[in-house]
Amino acid sequence: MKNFKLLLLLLILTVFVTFVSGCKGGEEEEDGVKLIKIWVHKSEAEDEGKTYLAIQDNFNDLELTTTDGTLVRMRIEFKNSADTLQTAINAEVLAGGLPDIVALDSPNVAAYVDAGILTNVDTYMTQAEIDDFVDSAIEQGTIDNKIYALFAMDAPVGLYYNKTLLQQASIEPGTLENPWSWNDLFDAMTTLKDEGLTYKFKGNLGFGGDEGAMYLYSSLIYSAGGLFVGPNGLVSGYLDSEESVNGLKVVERIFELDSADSEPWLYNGVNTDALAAGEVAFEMYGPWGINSIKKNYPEFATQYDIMPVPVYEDNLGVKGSLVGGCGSWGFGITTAATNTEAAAIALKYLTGADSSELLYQSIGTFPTHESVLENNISFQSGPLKSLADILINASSPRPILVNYPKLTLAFSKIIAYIEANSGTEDYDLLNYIQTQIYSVDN
Amino acid sequence: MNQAKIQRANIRFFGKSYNKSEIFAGLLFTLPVLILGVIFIILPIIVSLGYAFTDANLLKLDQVQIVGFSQFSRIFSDPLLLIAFKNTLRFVVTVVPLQLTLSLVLALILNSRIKLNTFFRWAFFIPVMLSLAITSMLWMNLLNEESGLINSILMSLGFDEQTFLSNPDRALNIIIIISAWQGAGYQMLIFLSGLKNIPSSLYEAAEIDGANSFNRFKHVTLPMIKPTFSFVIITMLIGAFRLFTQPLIMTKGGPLDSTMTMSYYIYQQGIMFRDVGYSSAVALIYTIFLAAITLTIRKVLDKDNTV
Amino acid sequence: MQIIIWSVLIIVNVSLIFLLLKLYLNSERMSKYKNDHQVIIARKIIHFWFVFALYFFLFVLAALFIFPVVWMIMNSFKTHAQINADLSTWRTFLPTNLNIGEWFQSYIKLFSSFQEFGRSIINSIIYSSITISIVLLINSLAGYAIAKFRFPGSTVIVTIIILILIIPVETSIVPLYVILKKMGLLTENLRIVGYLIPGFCSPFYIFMFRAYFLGIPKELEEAAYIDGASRIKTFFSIIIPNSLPVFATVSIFTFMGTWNEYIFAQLMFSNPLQQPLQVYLQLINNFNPKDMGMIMASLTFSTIPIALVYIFSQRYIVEGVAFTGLK
Repeated sequence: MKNFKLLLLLLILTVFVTFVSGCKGGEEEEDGVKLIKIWVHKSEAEDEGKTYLAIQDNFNDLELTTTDGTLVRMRIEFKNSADTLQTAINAEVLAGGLPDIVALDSPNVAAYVDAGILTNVDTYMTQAEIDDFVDSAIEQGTIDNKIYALFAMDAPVGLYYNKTLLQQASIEPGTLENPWSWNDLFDAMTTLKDEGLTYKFKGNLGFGGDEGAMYLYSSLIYSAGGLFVGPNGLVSGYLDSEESVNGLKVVERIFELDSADSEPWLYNGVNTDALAAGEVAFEMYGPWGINSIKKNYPEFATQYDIMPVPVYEDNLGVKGSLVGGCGSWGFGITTAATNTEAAAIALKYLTGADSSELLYQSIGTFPTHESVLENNISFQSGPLKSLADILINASSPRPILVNYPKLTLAFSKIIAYIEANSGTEDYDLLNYIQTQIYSVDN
Repeated sequence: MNQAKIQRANIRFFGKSYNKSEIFAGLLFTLPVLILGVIFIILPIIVSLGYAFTDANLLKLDQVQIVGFSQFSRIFSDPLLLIAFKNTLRFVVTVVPLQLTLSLVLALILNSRIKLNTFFRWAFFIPVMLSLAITSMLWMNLLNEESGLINSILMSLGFDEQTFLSNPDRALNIIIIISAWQGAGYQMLIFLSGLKNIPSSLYEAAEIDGANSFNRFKHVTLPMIKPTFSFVIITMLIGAFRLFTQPLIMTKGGPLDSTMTMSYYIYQQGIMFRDVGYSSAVALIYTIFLAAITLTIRKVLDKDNTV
Repeated sequence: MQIIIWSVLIIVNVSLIFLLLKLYLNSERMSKYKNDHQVIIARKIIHFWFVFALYFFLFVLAALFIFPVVWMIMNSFKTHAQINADLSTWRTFLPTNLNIGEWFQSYIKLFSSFQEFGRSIINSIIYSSITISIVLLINSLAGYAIAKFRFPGSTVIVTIIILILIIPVETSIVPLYVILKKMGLLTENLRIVGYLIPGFCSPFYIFMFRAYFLGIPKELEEAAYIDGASRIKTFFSIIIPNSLPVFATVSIFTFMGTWNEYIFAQLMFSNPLQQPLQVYLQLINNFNPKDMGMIMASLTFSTIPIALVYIFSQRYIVEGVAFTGLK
């Protein structure tokens, strides 16, 4: 009996402690103040997390109010990772526990809108505010002509190249007006190799988990005139269209080059600064490389530049359209927000020009406001300017469809399949594409 | 002794007589377990059954439409599901004999009078103390192709840098080895205790009858550990079919789906792709499959067991 | 590399030769020479060889089993830089230097960078305690009832319990999640309840209890009834004190199960303040930039509690298997 009593006591104690500590502190819903809760996908320890905290403090200092005089305050809650954020959202949908504003990756917008999680925000924006955003930033968050999400940072993809090496081999780099095709890239690599210079290419396929392939290489499909998904929301008929397959076959050549040679053409090491360290001549990457080089290899800053993503070139030498990848994390107002106007005020600041610039300074992501890009000195010259031009003129966000998670997985698997099997006997790209399409459309 | 003090309120029910307070106590005592078990373990299966006929989406559970058998017919034409099943099957038929043999052999060796017996027992048991999650994380770092211990050892021995978890042909084999590594010690202990329970008198009798060590093993040891053996094989088999944690942490389904298992597939479809309808259909079929296997194996091996 | 191949070949060949030799010496033809001096010496040599080979095999196998854990522990005492420096040498299995003051740097860094780490350990302890208490209570009651009581419906109940035993947990995760959501157990505050509650009913333990209780002589209970005790009182005052071994075993198994649980926990807990240890470790493991010292420190530290439990309760673990009714 005594043992039982002890056990019972222990049980009650632990349950009590759990509830007391697990309960969140009550909302500071004072009168006349609206607290906007925001979920972010980073932890407080990371640089991006710290930046959000700074943005929050700046906003709260501004003491903005709604039209009826309610003071708006921000509160950031850290969910530590994209996965945990997703877990939280899954759990709270329909349970009424969603925050006022939630962070999201641009490809998620379609699914969230479809599930009725997001409220559109364009009714709270002036045309000037909308225009200040780069086109691709608005595009990422727009479904059926309504804006559901705003983005403070973007990440345009570009082809980094070692300017000095190209000059040494007398190779003309591609430009916005006259971009390289993938064939031009391969030819350049061959030339460099023949001259005994560094020639390798860093593909960064593993970047961002499954998302890397789609983010960096969706241009393969688009540039060849193909599409990922049709207006009917299905991938079948589009991802396996002749144009799309032609686009995909481009990478066959480099994987074949890579495996045929004893010395790999593709960089397979782990040095994030391989370009600056002289191990590779070309790298396909987002804007983070710029910051990294500035920090770790400052003297390399004048020796590299960024050119647009290579375009498709068909057998007759006709080049396809210039399309770059982009897209990053932004924020949207949820349908659980009780005061949409207050939430919109918070959202606009969170994704506004000031925040955009702050994020650029701390983590190197690209601002999405033309005002910043035009006025900030850093963007007037050098690689930053190149990338900014690419963002403004040639970037298109990732495909918008409800089943995006499946599509991105399928695409990355297709690329991996080409890498692993191209040139072998069992290589059957079309069949593999079909199996992947099946898993996406159903 | 005054037996009249004992309350005997008898109730007749379908021809058998029961004690009233016994009925009350019996139902009361089993009530909590029944409520919890039915709601949280049996009900999910029924819910699966329900959702399997719909197009339910995780984010829109209030807008559900019946779609008949289409989810089930999808199962038959889904190439990825087939891959998941093949991988799971391959895992099961490889890891079970491997781990079984390993643990049994070790138990047999350690059961004889070997010096340093305790040392070896603990050495083989140490991996068991790591949880599956910790095991996965530890091995991920060990097998890291650039900065892991394994590759650095191999390279210092003169091999080239190898690929492990990023290699579609190898990833599943590696998970098999790691799983066997983690679990063998535990089964070894179980076998050891089973072996220790064999009365030495049986061995002595056999020796007197002129059996050499091989025959003693065959006619005394093997039959006597049969119950232990059945228990181990059943638990290992069922556990192997449910492989989930290692692929989830280490490879997320593996390079080119080579480590995609059934449990992972069900989870991926339901939670990551939010397709609750399809996930339920697959889960249902798989549960029935596993239940069938469990019952069959139990029948075959467990003829005289109480459980 | 060559060394290894050659030594393996030599060992195998010598063993084969000796095996043949032994069979030859044991054969009929040689039996008349059985007590010859040389034969005895030859047999001793062969015996020694096999013993040597056996120990060699065991040591190699043991090394293969424990080297990852040794590496993990050793690396937890180094900083990231030291780990990388030692990696390609034999020093990787030893501390970098004997300066014990330096050994805990990774641990200190771990606790200061990841403030919720300690919290996650406490969470695991809390979750385990709650689960153990309730598991012991309701499963023992049920086990007792099906062991001792005759009542209508008992066979149905036992069948239901067996049914529960058969259903694998992993396939029910998604519908279970949906059920919890509809019951409102997924909201921030009640999520802990939603997480723990499915783990309370365990047919495995019910049968363990049953098997043990069947072994308790009826006289004990009869004595209590005669003294006027109700069935409930009998259970708590007579049965439990006499069943401490099985309660201990179930406690330990439950602890191990809850402490190590990962899949359901990572699905349910998005708030780092509520996450148990296993889930939180993922954050440290996936953190960029990778700090190997911190990762190993976190893994090592997390293994200590359960290692202690294993060490102190080995007996119960092994006996526990016997309770399932093996005999």
